[in-house]
Amino acid sequence: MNPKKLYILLITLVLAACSKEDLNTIPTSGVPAEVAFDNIDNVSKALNGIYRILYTQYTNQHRDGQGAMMINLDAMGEDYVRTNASYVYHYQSYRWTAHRDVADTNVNGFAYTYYYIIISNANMIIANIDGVDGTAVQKAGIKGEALALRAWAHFQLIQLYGKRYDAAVKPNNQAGIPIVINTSTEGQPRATVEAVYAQINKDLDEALTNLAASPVVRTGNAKTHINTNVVNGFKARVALTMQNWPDAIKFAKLARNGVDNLMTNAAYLQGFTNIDNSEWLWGIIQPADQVPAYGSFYSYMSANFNSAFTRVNPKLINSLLYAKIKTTDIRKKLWWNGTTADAVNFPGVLSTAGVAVAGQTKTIYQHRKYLVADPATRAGHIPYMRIAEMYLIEAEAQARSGNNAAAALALLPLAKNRDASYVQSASTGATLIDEIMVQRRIELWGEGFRFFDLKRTNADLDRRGANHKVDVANILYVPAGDPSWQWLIPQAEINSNPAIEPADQNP
Amino acid sequence: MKKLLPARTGAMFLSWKRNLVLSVMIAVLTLEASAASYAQKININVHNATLKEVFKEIHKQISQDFIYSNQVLEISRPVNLVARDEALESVLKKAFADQPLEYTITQRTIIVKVKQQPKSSSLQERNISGTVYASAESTPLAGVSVTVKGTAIGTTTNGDGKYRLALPAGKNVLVFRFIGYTSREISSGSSNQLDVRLEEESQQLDAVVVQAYGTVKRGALTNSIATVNAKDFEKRPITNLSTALAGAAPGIQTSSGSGQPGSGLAIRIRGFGSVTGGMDPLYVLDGAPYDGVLSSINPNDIESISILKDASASALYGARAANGVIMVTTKKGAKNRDVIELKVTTGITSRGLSNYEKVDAFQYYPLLWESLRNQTLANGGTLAAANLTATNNIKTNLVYNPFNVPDNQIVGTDGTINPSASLLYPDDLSYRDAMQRTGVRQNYSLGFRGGAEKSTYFVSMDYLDDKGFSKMSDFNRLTGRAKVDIQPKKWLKAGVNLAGTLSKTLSANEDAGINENPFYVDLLMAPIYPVYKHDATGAFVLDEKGEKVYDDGELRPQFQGRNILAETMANQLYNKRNALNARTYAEVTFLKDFKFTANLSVDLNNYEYLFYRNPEIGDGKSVNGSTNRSNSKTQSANINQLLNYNKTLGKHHVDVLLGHEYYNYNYTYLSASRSNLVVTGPVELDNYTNPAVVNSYVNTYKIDSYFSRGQYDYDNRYFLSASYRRDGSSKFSPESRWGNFWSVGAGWQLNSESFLKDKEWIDILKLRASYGQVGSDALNGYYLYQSYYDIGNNNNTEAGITQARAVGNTNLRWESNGSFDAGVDFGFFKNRLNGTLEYFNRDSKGLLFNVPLPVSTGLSQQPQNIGSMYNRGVEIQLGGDVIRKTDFTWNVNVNWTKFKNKITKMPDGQASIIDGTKNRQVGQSMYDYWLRDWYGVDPANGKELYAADPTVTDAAAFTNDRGDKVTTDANSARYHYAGTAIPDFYGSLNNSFSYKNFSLSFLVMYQSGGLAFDSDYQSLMYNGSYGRALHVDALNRWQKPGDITDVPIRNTGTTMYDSDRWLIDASSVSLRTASLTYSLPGRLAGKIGAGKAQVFATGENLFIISRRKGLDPTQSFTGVSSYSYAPTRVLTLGVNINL
Repeated sequence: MNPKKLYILLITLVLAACSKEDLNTIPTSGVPAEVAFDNIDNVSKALNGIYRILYTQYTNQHRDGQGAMMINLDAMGEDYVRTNASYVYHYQSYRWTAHRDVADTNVNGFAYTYYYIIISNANMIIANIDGVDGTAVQKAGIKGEALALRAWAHFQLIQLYGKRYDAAVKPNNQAGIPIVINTSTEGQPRATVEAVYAQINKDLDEALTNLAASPVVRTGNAKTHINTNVVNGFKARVALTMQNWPDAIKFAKLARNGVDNLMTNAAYLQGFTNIDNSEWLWGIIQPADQVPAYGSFYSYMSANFNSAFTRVNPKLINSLLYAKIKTTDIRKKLWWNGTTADAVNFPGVLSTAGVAVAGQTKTIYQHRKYLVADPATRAGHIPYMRIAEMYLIEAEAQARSGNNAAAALALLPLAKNRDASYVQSASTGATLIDEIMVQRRIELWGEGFRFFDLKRTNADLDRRGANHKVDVANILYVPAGDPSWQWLIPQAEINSNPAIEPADQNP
Repeated sequence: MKKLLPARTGAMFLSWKRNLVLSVMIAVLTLEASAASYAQKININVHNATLKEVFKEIHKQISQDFIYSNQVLEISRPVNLVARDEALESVLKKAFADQPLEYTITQRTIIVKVKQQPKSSSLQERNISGTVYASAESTPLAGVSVTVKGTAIGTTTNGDGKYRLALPAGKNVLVFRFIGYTSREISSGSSNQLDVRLEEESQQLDAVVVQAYGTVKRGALTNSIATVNAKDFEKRPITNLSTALAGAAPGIQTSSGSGQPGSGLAIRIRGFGSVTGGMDPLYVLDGAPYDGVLSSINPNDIESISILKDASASALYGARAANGVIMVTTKKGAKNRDVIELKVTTGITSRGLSNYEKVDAFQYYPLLWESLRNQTLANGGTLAAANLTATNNIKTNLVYNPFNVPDNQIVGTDGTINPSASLLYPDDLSYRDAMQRTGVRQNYSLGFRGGAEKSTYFVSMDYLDDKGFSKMSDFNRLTGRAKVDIQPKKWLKAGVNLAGTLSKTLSANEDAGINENPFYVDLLMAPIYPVYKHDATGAFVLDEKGEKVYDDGELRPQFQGRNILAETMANQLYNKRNALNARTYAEVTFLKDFKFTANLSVDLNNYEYLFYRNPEIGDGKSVNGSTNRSNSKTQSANINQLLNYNKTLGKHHVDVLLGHEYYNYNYTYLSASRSNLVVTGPVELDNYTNPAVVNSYVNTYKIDSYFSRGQYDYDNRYFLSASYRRDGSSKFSPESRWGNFWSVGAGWQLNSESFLKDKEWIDILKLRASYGQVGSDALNGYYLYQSYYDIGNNNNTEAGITQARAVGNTNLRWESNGSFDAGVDFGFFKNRLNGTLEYFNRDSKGLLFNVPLPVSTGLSQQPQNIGSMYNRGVEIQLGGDVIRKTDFTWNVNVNWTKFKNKITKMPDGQASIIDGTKNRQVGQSMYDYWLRDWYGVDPANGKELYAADPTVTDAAAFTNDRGDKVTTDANSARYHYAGTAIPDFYGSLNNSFSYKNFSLSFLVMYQSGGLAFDSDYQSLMYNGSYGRALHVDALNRWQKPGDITDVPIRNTGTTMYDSDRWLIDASSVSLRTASLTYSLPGRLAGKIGAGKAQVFATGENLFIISRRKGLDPTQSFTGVSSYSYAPTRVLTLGVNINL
């Protein structure tokens, strides 16, 4: 080669090499946050994403979003009974240890993280939606749902990590939880219980304003979204927890407005896995391709999905509570009475072909409330709010306000629906309240209410004399007011949040 | 080195020894010589006299002294001499006229020597022959290339190391070349016999060491580079090259690694330079960053591995060099010498770590009885009632009764095992035994290397089949490499280096959580649960085919519904990799001193993963079988252009490099899974009915770099080097993307100085120091500055996205690592004692850290540059031949490293970052334990006690009789710094002996001090769970008031909290490898046509001794060890033949 030509080649090569390379890269598994708030369509997708969080499994089994919380909260009551010690899932909540273990990430840490993830996603929408192009109606709808989700998540948290709200000692200045209503990465201190409830009600009220135009009657996917009825339902729950009886009555009624339609007895035994059930106000649809590799609500809680856990550890109802169910009550059929005659109604877990699996554990009092529609998958719809609860709230609030007749009347439609032979209660006072609470326990079994109910009513946890096994349950009795009714603030939060010191921990 | 001088020709030969003696005599006599007058005249007349008589006569007349040895004079001829009044010189001339001797007059002394032959006296071609030896082994070297300088004449040594050549007239310089040894040019003089010893390259100052973007003579190094050569590991059954680095040099810390066939070790160079950033060194394969897995590289292809330890050495890889650089160079051909290398090894594998000591079935039942009894008692009632309850119900809780006594008579009400109880199936109570096997390992390796005048080649193929000691685990690899270097023009060199690998790994599922992890199951399954089903008599239950039936454990309190052996055998879990690595270059020399090189490298890695779960037992059962298939493709390209200027002006030597480099990495991932099998057999996704769960993504990463280096030396004595690199990484935002990295270094080779030159015992003495700044962007994730919404979060059929929990940081920038290094290299007494002493100080600033965000923000973490940290330490490497005899040598090499790691700065407002068992604070090290302060067991009631946290209100806290504030509530326990996971010092000891044709070598690794968090032990001391195996220490539990013990009362309701109770001294010693080699004597090897033939036996991971049986404290750098595939012990026999 002619040397001159060579040098030209060299110089060209060097120069070519020196041209600036494009070092800007973008991932394919996500979009920049700005893109999410680029237009109203994308914002609606960010809202849809929050509903997905409700059934997303976080990093490990038995951290399956709201489904896991429902199980944990029942497990911490007396009405959910475990057959034996098999499997760790929700076991330490049943034993009352997980929520008091600051390092626990399956229950104590999970609940805290999960609800704040919902809050953070809602905050992104609330903070950014005003700047997005879109119609006022579109924006209001999205913002209303985000506000309601934020309020609901705060409400769940305060009931876990704060000392119970006591209407007799207002203002409730005991330590609550951090109120997080902006998108900052800075940690917030624990606000008082009073302040947290104030924020919850503020958000719910704003949500109602924004959602005023939301449709009432809905089916399918639409029912996974929060509408005015659901927000009123939240308001009713919050009021009940704050012992604000008039509001509880008012909002429980509003929540049923336009959809007041209890299910048939036949539907009652169909497995609580259809969002189109007339009684469901709010729930989610977890399809078969959106289940985690392991776990899911139905894989722990259903009576028929063939998970190893379910196979050997069917979930039972408290035998004392079962005894209180009238034989004429359709709900009595949800649990096995132990007879051979009734056994056919409890085939238990099924193979993918729909055949009862041999060798599974069968135990008296095992349930068939939750059933997967297709035994081949762990998927199903999960109820978060039903109309029945609104009747129960109204009745309880009336009873606790001393309006015995109104309370009995409020309970009647539900009780009559479940048991045709039911006659309106003539009880009063504590007896009536107890009757309503028994109805509530039976009706809402397995739906994640019991721990909250015990805590808000300042009742003892008393598992004694029932079918709990001491070596499995570990704890049979916790008096009302015991420090252990408060979940501990996770150590991870204390470690990472400069605004919360070790001394700020619950006793 | 012993010098073999060509022997003198003439009437007789003097051995070199005699020459030496003679020289010494001459030196002594010279000092005594007296002065003589050259003016004086001599009269002499002798006939047939001896020369000695002549000297005496002269001495008598003029007092002239002669210096000679009697030996020399033995060859003198009789003298006939007549001289009258002649001067001394004239007389001597006559006397030496036809003597084979000559004389010189020095300072009035006359020295008599054997006469020198005139050079190239012969114009005739002549034959020359000799033997070539390997210096260290004193063994003949076969296959050494011997050429006559300036000609094309050449040969190679035969099996005995012998050669014979025809030397043309006028040529007498021979060149000896052999791979791994320093080439020598030796003049044969007029001798026809020339024996030569070749020095191993690594010990030589002029050995070539691979450095960043080039090579350098070891002597010119101003920084710290350790080298491992093929010879150091060629006999070891190494599958993964990282294994060869364990103990290779000081400053290299390795974890013990997994025993899974194909897996390697984790490596840390000079401490821990980052907190959550990556700390793995950068691997550079034949000049380009390597993105494949290390197991795709055939260790038999490797010529050398250079470990660039300090910033000055690695600064040219600035961007990713902060954790050191490991440069792997593959073998290449040699000119005019074609060799076939064949190696075959075969062996067996077994577990290389002892087991924890666990209680047996007879001890287990009573311990769990006691747990139940105590739990019952705690819930009220009398002791007698509780005892009875426990006796009656213990089997109900443990579910299985492996004894020949009724369920309610296994443990008596006194808590002891029924003396008449015996096991029904004692041989079927160990899942560990059932899961283990003796694996077989086979490796066949064939290499061809050689070349012609203008080209060289290296071609290899290798097959490995390595079966692990855990059932259904193995590694299977087929590799091929072709490397060609050509020089078509005087000014042009080019080459291509292509390697392809196919591998398949059957994985023992060691990364699985619990039920599917064989190492968790075999650790924690209590010794009362059989692997197979048994009937009431204890006999095996057989199926219709007469096969044993697996116990499905549906009701077992641990691992319910699982049987790890059944699942392992029925599931399929494997990955396959195809790797293609291509390296090409062209090098143009121009304008005499300039060189331009263009390198292009491409790495392609295809990865395929399959996990099939059977529908019969395990996780697949609930969904009637499932398959998860993942495929990924990694492709990376690295292009660089280098311009070199190399000039020698007298004693000055300058080498300047300018370069540009562009790196592009691309990763594509696709995963799908389905369940509900249709027909038994096919495991493909089509064979399922449930909807598929799929996801996919692509990651891209780019680095653009400009760099320069200058190296200067003067007279091989003073060395200077400096480098600069500017890198831009796509991981950082455009504003903070570019980083500048640089280094300076200096070296002084004292042994080349005149004042030391004649100190013959000093072979090498060199001082060097360097300082450099390198960087790291090695934080997980490729888009660190950007905040995202994750896709794929649909709400049923509604499109949905969610906020990514890790948020970006546009201010994030390079982690920088300022590294100072100073060292002394020395070699004394013909290198019989050699070594290096080094001090280093790595100062990391702007540490890349995924800072945990407050949980209540809903976010997980944000990458930040927080704080600073240093690693300071001393490294010593000392080696030498303790014994160096012809037949026997003993070589010892010791490595010792001590360093201190300390955090010096934390981010504002975040004085402490707690992560697992560690808490990062100023003044602490990266791996200081932050744990609950375990106080002990309350002798009064057996409860576990912790030192109480004084800042917490705690009803369970009290002040005990010793005045300490303690608590039984672990949640209120005081946390404290409980020591560090970093050892006080660590290192290795390498011994090799060679006796005649045998050689024995072994490598011992040690670490002293530091603490291990023994989480397996913690698991085995778990109080609460039925069916979980127990350590023998559980027998020391508290039983009655007054018992002094460290093991609490047994019960069923306790969580085993992390605390410093689980810490244990991490000191350990392990015998990593030992090998015994027999080299066939050359004559025998020659008979089978081989140049070299060796037979060897090698053992790998022979034992590890630690403070607790079963614990491997070197399993992880964090000190937290847990169940995993224990290191594999490999015993192999091998044959190594060069043709």
